[in-house]
Amino acid sequence: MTFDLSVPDNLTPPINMEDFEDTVHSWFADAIGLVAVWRDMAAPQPPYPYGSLLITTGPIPASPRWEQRYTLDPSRPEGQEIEAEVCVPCAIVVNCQVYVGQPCARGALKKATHYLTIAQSSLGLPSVLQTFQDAGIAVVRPEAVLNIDALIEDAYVSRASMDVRFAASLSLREYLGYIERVHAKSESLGVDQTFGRI
Amino acid sequence: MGEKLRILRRLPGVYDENGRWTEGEPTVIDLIAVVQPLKAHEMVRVPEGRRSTGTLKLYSPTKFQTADVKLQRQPDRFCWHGDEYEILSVEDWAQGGFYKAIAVEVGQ
Repeated sequence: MTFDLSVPDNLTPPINMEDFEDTVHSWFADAIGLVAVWRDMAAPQPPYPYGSLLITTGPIPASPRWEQRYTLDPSRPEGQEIEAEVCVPCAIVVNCQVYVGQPCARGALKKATHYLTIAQSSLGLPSVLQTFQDAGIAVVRPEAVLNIDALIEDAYVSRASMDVRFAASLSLREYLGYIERVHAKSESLGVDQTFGRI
Repeated sequence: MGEKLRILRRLPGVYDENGRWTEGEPTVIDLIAVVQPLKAHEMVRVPEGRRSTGTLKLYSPTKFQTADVKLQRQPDRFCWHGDEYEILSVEDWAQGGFYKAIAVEVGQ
């Protein structure tokens, strides 16, 4: 069995994850005031202190039933006259972490949890919400700030973690082809005619 | 006694303005090293399927490069007997005229 997904520009992504990541990164880096990176296990760790981001879950479609929209344009090339677009809201969970090495982490205002508390609160600011909205992203809610301090090899590192749930939308298009002709036949109505291309 | 190894060494990389890692430019260095298996080349069974792993130790008068946070650099890589390895650790025995390194197989 094969699926004939005649998607325009084959494999068009249903969401622009690069734009999503850039917007989230911009917020996080500004909020914590530290270097912020997307976690990459094959890359060198930045020097402490720094923050990191990772999409841990999502996109999660909000409904199993996607909204469907159809557009008909006979002037489009053959086979592309009918376009179907399906879309659905979705959730994306981003894990945010901050790491502060010693001795910089001594003091309540220098621990990793402090930086995440600022980031968490900043998600309530109208200017921040507006920036996300302009990028087609909604902030659903930040979760709790967790203290995940750890001894990394032989050094204590102040570490903190927080999940943030965002909402965005997924959309995908395909062409459904075109009904070339319809034949109608009815003895009672006296109809026996073909409509469309003959 | 040693053999010629072609090392792929990358210049320091950077995290771009959006927080994504960008590798530094690769350079090639030829050096002489004594290469010995440290651990048997063995099969690893993971849910994704089977793969192999191996570990080597190397002795060379030329210093190998490991990953470094301050310099934001990646470890040296090289091919040996058709498999790709990267340097995991380096011991500085320069007073004795050599460096000892441990390398682990990477990739599939």
